[in-house]
Amino acid sequence: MLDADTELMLRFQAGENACFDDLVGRFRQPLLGFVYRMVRDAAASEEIIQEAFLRVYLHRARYQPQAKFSTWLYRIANHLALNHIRDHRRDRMTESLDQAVQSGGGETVTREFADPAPSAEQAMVAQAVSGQRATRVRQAIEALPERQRAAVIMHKYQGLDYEEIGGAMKMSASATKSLLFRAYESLRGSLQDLL
Amino acid sequence: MKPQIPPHSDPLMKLLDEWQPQPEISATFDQQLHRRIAMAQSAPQASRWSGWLRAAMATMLLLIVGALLYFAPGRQARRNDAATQSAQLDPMVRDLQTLARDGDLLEHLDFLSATSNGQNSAPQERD
Repeated sequence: MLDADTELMLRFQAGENACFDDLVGRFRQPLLGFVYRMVRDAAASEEIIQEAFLRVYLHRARYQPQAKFSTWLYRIANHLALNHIRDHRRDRMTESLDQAVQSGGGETVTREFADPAPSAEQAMVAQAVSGQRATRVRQAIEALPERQRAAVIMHKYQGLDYEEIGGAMKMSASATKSLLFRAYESLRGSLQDLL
Repeated sequence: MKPQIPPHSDPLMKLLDEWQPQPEISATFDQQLHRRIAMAQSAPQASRWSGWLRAAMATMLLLIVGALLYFAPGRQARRNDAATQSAQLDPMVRDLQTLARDGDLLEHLDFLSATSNGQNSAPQERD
């Protein structure tokens, strides 16, 4: 039996354009959570999600119901997010070097990269209260290799199962499980002092 | 070792829960998406026209370059030189061909003379 999202996609494929809006409404926020955790830039995340939905719209004829719609959508978004990370790796390195220079080079400054922070004061308060551990978690996840990072975000934060993650990353469920195991072991090692 | 993914109750999983960034979709998201879709749908039409235009311009350019190369003054002079040279060479080639023919003829003449000598001697023997 087909899930509701796949049915919506098939109806959209058959010509019911309103179903596309329903799919966008269902997936834009969860997809933003995934892409934002990958690229750490709110504006770029929205761009990527729009591009993902645009591809769904333009290539709707290519969709095969063998894969769940969410798997197909996450595959597109993951591909776009990884491309963005690769394209902007140099910018990020330059940015972190600039920060190190501005802070005198001796002290490492941790800055939420384009986080939606209403004001610097609020961000400082939030970070003082509970941000330190969250920042460590974020840094540990960011330090993972790209595929492990994507798998952990899909599994831990998006609640996708092995089949779905495997489908989105073009790998088998057992390979996905193995990848996740390595990723969690790596995280356990880097966050040992907080456990 | 069989890979075991930590359960939700694992301290690591609880720690990972602490990273909860909550970016919100902007209010203009749907509007922007529909504008992008409209642009993407009109793009193939425009790109088809620009494709035709580019092809026509490329053909035109090729024709112009071809004509320039063909009618270039230097090339014309070289072509005239080549024609003059071939005109000068023509008698030489004809002479060589004549010589070659003469050589063949001389070889055959030897044979004919040898044969004619034999023919002349035979009646003498009969006499």
